[in-house]
Amino acid sequence: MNISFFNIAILLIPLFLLILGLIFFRVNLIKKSAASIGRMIIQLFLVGIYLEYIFKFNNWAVNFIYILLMITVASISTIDMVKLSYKKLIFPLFGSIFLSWTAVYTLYQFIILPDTNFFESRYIIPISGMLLGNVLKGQVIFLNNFLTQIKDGEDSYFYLLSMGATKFEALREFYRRSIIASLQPDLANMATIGLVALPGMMTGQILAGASPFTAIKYQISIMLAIFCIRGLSLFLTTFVINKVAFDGFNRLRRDVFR
Amino acid sequence: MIKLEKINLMLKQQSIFTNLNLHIKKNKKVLLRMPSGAGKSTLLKVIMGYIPMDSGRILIDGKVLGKDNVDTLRQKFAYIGQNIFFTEESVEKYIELIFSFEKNRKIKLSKSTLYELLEKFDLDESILKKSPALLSGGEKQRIALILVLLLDREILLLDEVTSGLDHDLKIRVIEIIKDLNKTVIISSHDNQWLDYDEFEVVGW
Repeated sequence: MNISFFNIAILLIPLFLLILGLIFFRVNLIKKSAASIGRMIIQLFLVGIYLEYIFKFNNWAVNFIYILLMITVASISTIDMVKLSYKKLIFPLFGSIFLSWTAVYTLYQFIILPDTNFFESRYIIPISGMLLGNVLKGQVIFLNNFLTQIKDGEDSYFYLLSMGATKFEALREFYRRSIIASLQPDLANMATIGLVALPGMMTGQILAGASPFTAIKYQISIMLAIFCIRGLSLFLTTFVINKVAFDGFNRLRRDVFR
Repeated sequence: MIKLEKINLMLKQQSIFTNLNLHIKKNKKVLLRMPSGAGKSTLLKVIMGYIPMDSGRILIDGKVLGKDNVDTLRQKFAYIGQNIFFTEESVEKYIELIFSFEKNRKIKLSKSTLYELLEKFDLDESILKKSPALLSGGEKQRIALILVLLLDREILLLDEVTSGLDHDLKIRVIEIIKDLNKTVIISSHDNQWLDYDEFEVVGW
């Protein structure tokens, strides 16, 4: 069932009441709420408009470029949030995310959607969006955790190096901890999924008229794919970091930071 | 033999070393004695190539420390920094980890030597089963020293290794180090080192 813009506009009335409530409690969030709501509406409108066109074209090259764009944005956002140097890390991170996406989406497409075209926009764009959004979250936690640990634990790292560890042997424990930190939220998410809120993708399918059973099958498949891509992208980023973030003396390069 | 030639280093716009020269002969024991913040810990890290210097050369047994030989030259050293923590779930597992490194696999971990060293450093065998997180600072320092001695490196760089120990233990550790047949560079604020002629006091 379609929703009319008029009905959405009517939703602004309860919103106005909420704002009165905020004023009553002297909660200083009115400007921020207005800005956030405004951004949300404009951004979704834009997404709606270009997705309409992308779906209408359904051209493999356009879709592929769109995916590359998403990967670029994911890489840039990761670098931005962890405050790293764009110059040093944009290509390595792009490579790591692109490879994980290629591996996981190809598998997903062949196993779960064998009857569809690989670049069918209706599938490749939303599913890649979910995968890449999760990769972004995972990468930010991983890199933040790893780089903080190595800065704080530099003496321990140097001790291990002097005790004969190779760079990787000395870093393994740091990597191990950061991988745990990065995967933990996803594991928690899977363990509690469906208990209270239904996951977004499943909700969408049910609203669109799919049977709940179809919806959960999609949901299970996407959750597994998300776990795979989060893990795989971490392993690849580990290799990248091992190469890019240390100099010939196995010291953490200060210029990987901004 | 360690030779530092004209080392210059600025950190955070502060000059730490200007044209520092230092020559340490084989099996000499040197005590770096300078006020806090003068760069004692930094110097130990510079010698191992852990901190890049602005200019100058470091020679170890006549070879200039550089990217190509840093891995080999570091194997002559053992370094104990101030803020080390051990990983793994027990001290024993951590010792096994160190001996599982590719370069150490040939070295056999002798249990009897380990127990002897534990006794020498006044540690009970039960410490091996303890979680590293539960060790006191002094216990960690002694375990780190024991590991260094087990690996039998030629040159020891020890940064405040007696700081967490009580007076008697400080003396005990200092006496063990004084009798070692190794080159040792020590950074410490403890006065007990000064009672032994084996340690040559150095400053800049």
